[in-house]
Amino acid sequence: MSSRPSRPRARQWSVLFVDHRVIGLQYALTALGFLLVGFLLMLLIRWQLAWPAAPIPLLGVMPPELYTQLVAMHGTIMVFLGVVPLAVGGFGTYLVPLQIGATEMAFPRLNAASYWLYLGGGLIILASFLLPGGAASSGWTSYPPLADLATSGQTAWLCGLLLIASSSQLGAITMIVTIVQLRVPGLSFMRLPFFVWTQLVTAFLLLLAFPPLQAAALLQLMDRLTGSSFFLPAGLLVSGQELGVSGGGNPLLWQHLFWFLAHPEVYVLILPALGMVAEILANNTRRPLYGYRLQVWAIVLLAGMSFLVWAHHMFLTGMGTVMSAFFQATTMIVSIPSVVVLTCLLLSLWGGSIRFTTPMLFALAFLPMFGLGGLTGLPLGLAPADVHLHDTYYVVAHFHYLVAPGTIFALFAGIYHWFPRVTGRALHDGLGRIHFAGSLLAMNAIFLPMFVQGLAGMNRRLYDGGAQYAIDRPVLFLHTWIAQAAWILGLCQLPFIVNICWSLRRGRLAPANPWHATTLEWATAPLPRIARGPYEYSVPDASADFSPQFEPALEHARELEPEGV
Amino acid sequence: MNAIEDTPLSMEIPYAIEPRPDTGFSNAALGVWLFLASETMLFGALFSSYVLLRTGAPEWPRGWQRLDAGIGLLETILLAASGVTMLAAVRATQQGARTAGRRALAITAGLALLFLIVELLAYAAHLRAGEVPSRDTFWAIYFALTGVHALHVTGGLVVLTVVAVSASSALPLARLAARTETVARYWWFVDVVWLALFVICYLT
Amino acid sequence: MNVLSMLCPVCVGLGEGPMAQASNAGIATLMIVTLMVITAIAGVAVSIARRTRRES
Repeated sequence: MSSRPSRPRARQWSVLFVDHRVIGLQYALTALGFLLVGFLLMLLIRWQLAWPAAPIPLLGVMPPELYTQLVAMHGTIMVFLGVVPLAVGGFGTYLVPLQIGATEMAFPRLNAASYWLYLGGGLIILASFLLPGGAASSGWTSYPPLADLATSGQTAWLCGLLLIASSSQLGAITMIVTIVQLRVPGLSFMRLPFFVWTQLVTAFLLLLAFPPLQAAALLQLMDRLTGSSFFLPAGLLVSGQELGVSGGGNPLLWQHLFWFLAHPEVYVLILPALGMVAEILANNTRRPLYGYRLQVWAIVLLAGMSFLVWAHHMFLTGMGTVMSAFFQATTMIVSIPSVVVLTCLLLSLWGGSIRFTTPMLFALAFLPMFGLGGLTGLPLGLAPADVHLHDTYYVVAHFHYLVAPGTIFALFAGIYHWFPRVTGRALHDGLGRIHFAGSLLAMNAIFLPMFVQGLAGMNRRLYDGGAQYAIDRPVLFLHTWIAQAAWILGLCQLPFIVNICWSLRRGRLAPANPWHATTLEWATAPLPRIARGPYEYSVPDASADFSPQFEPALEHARELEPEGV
Repeated sequence: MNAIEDTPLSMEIPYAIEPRPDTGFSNAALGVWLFLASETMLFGALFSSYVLLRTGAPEWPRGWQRLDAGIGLLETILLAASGVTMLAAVRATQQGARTAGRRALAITAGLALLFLIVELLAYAAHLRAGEVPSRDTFWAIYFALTGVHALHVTGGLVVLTVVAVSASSALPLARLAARTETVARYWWFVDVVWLALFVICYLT
Repeated sequence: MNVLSMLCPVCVGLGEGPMAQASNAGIATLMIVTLMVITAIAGVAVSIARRTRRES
C-alpha cells in the first residue's frame, strides 16, 4: 500500500475519464458536433453552386478561395472528424466491451489518449479557418504541387491529420487487444456479434493503413517548411515563374501514399455501419443472420484486399497497362465480398417477422442505398469507363450514396437502437419516422441528380458549378434542385436533434431490454430503477412468484414493447 | 485507505501481464506487436518513397559519396550494443535480478542517448555544409528517414528511462519483467530499422 | 485544351518511362511490406485459432 494520502477527488475524476462509456460518449458527442459543422459547410457549398453570383447573407459573395476551403474542409471534417470517430470511437468504444462482457477496454488510458488526440487534431483543423490564408483548400486529398504551395491552412491540416492518425493507431491497438483478450469465457470468436467482428476488422485497417499517410504528411510538411522537393518536379512553373526548389520530386508519390490510406479508409467508413445494420436486422426480423460465418470471412477478405486496390483512384496518372490491369483486377475482386455481405443481409430478411421500428426503417433503407452506391462504383473501377467519369460528379454521387444514405443511415439506426441502453430512455417514435422519411427522400433528391451531372461530364470542385463549360450547361439547373433538397435535408434533421434533447430528459423510460435483443450489451441496464420494495415475493395476482426490486413488473414490460410485435 | 481507490486500474483488467491461455498473449505483448506492425507500415512507406524517388531520378549518388560511413558504422555499433544490453535486461528481470536489470536498462538508455548525440552532431555538420533537405531529394529523404528513426529512438529512450526509474523495490517483479519485455521488443525493432537504414542509405 | 492529351494515359502515356517505372517500384515495395505484415497477422490468427481449439 502506498503511504501517500489518498486524494479521492482527483482519482475519481481520472478514473471517470478513462471509463470506456465516458470515452465513447465523448467521441460520439464531439463527432456529432463535427458532423453538424460539416453539414453547414455543405449548405454553403450548395448555395454557391446553385446561385453562384448571389451574395450569401452575412458573408457576401463567395470568393473562389473560400469555396475551395469549404470543399476541402467538408470532406476532411466529415470523413476524419465526423463519421469514423462516431462509428468507431463512439459506438465501438461504448458497445464492444459490453458486448464481450469486459468491464473495461484493455488499455483505458491509451483509449482516453486517443480521444484527446482526436479532439486536438480536430480543433487544429477547425481553427485553421481563422488563419490569414484560411483553411486547407486543396481538397481533402491535398494533392501536390497545389497543396505544397497552398496557404498555412494546409500546414494546420497536416499537423491535425498527424494527431488524428495517431489517435486512430492507439484506438485500434486498444480495440484489437480488447476483443482478442477480454472476451468472457464461452464467448468464442464465432459467437461474437457481427458488430464486434466489424470493429475488429476496422481496427486492423486503421492500424495498418494510416502510417503511410503519416509518412506522406511528414514529407509534405518537409516540402512546405524545409523547402524539400519530395512532391515537386524540376522545372515547375507557378504563375509563369519557375519555382526555386531543387526539384526531383514526384507528385504521384503523394497520391500513392494518400490513397494507400484512403482506400482502406472507405472500408473503415462502411464496416461499422454493416455491423450495426446486421445487429438491427437480426433483432427486428426475429431471425438469425443469414450466413454469419460467410459474412465474417467476407469482411476479413475485404479488409485484406482493400490494401491492394488503391491505385484505382489514379487510373489517369499514366501508370502503364500492367499496373492498370493489376489494379482493375484487384478492384473487381474486392467488390465480391461486399456483394456477399449485402446479399446475406438481404437474405436475412427472408421469412422474418419484420418489426418496422424506427431503427429498422433506417437499416432497411441502408440496404438498397448501399447497393446503389456499391454498384455505381464498378464503372469507376474499370479504367476505360473511369477515363470519362474520373473527377466528375458521378464520383461524388457514388461515394455519397455509400456514406450518406449508407453509413450515416446506419449510424442513425444505431442511435435509435442503442439510445435506450445508453440513457435508459426511449427516443420518440413519431419524430424518428419523420426524420427517416424526410432524410431518405432528401438524400436521394440530392445525390441522384449528381449521377446525371457526372455522366454529362461536369467536373468536381468547380466553384461556379461548371457554368463556364458548354457540356455542363444542360445539367446546371440540377444544382438548384440539389440545393433545395439539401435545405430540406437540414430541416429534416431538426426533429432528430429535438428528439435527442427532449428524450434525454423527458423520454419515456425504457425497460432493460426494450427490443428483446439477444446480445450481451442488453443484459445490463444503464441504471437500475427501483420500482418497489426489497421482498416482493408471492404477491397476489402477480404473474410470477417474485417481482424484482430493480425493474418494472413483467406486466408493465409488455406495455413498453415496441410497436409491430 | 480505500482499497478500491488504491487499486491500480491494471489490476482489474485480466491478462494484463500473464498470458491468456487460449490466445497465448498477454495484453501488453499483443499491444506492442500490433504497435510494431503499424510502425512497420510507417517505415515501409518511407522506404517505398525512397525507392520511388531513387528509381525515378536521372542520377543518384552512392551513399558513401555523400555520407560518412564511419559515423554510420559507429551508430550501428552503438545500437547493436544497446540491443545486447537490452537482452541482458530482459534476462535479468525475468530471473528476478532487479538491480542487474535496472543497470542493464540504464546502460541501454545511455547507449541510446549516445546514438542521438552522434546523430545530432552529424546533422549539425550537414547543416553547416549546406547539406539540407532543400538541396536535393537525396538529402531530403535522408533527413526524413533518419529523422523519423531518431524520433523513435527518442521515444524509446524516454520509455527506457521511465521503466528503469520505476524499477524500484515497490514495483512487483512480474510487472517489471513485463515492462522490460515490452520495451525490449520495441527497442529491437528500432535497432533492426536502423540496420536497414544504414545499409540502404549509407552503403548503396 | 488539346483533346489528345485528355485521352487515357494508359493508351497514350509513357507506360515504360522512368516515372512509371519509379511508381511501379514504389508500389511494389509498399505492397511487399503490406503483404508481409498481413501474412504475419494471418499467421498469428491461425495460431490463436489452433490454441483455442486445443484449450477448449
